[in-house]
Amino acid sequence: MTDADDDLVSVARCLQGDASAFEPIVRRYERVMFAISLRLLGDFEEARDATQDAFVRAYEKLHTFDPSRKFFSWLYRIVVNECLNVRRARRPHEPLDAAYPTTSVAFEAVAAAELHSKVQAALGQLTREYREVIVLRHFADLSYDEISEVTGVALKTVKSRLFTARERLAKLLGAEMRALA
Amino acid sequence: MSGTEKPSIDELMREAQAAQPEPPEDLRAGVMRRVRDVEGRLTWFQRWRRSSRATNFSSRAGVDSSNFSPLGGLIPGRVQAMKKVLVAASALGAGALVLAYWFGFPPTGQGTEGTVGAANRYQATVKLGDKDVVVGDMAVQKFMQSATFDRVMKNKNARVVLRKIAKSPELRKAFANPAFVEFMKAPETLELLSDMEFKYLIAQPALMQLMARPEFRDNFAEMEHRHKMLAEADFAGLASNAAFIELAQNPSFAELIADASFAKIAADASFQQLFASPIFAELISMAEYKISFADADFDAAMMSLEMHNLLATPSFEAALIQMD
Repeated sequence: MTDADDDLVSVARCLQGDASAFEPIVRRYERVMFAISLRLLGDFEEARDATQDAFVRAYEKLHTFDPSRKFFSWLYRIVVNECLNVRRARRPHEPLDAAYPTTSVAFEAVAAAELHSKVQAALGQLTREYREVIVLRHFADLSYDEISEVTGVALKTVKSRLFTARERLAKLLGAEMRALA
Repeated sequence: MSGTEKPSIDELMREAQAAQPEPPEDLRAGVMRRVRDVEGRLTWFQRWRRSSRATNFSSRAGVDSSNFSPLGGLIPGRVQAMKKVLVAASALGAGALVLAYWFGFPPTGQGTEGTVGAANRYQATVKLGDKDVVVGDMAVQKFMQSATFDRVMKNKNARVVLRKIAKSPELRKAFANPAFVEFMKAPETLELLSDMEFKYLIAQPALMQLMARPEFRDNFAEMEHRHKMLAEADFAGLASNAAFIELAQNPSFAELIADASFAKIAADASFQQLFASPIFAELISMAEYKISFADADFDAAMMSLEMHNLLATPSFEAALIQMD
């Protein structure tokens, strides 16, 4: 049975009143959804709250899920909307955190923390569309087709948008790339 | 973008992904705790709606939906029972519609069927001849059709008098007597009848009995102590009228002349003409017109077309005009 079939079984059981059936779904998607939230929000605590709120909202709205579509795509749109709500609740024009809150996360390597922080800072300077395709491609490991389905954008547009996003990100991270080389 | 940049950005992204922090350990537990709270707050309708949606997943995911209850928890057969109830209710509704269509609504009982085919007209076996149609007294019919009857209907006093006459067979008989009518139409008689003292006297049974005796009429002139009214010559003539003597013994006559309505029309000259009318005498005496003794029936009879025709005589009409 594929992950998609597992998703449908869990969703069906949840709709029939078995709340415990939602736990496999959370276990399967918490990492990627948290990663997306973290890259979109740039704040560990906000990402945790947004991810948690997104899962709960998904459970509340399970009856609106169309089984003909991928559950991940449906859940991703909920996570993105929650992140947008968090950003709207912030002060106007407040940029993404340039410095990743290393104090709240136990990173094993200071170097990894620095890289993560710089990547996050660079993502914060991209527009929402470019940042979204970068996150989905490199942090959620989605294919072009999956990105097209999740974002609702044509496959050709996804490729074009991802190409431009990578180019701008490379310019922003030029120093780190040269150091890596 | 140069060809050397692309591998670098990919490598950098892989480095960044590897350094990506794991989600908080309490994330899953927090989600499940809130999910159970949400499940507990769901209303019965929300549970039913969610449960009904789950059936769409059954064929794809192979889930047996009958193992779950919309009321929460795993209660076997609850959803299946609800489905059966809904199916049964739908079947009953469909059956009711079919019956309503088949038998019609509202339902019709016996005797409400419509005629099928041409109606059969009644055809008499014997044709009517001239003798089969009997035409009544045309004078009476003309009288009934005149405007006089309308005036009778509008004249309260005349109707009261007519009602009293109609109630009493003796009065109807008296007014049908030409001699009595001749006597009554005399102005003196009518003047006497309108006198209050005479009304008082005539209402005394003893006097009536006295007047009915032949020796009273014979010795009336020799009576020393007689009433002022009785001393008048007119009364002598009245007392000598056999029809009046006979009628005077009837309580209905006493009641009639004592009535205020009779007094009103008796004082009027037109009342003499009314009594003098042979049509009126005929009206009073004609049993076939069924002048009812009951007031309500009499009123109904007076409203009938036959009574209109009967009373529509010129003389009666002229009398009524003067009575108004």
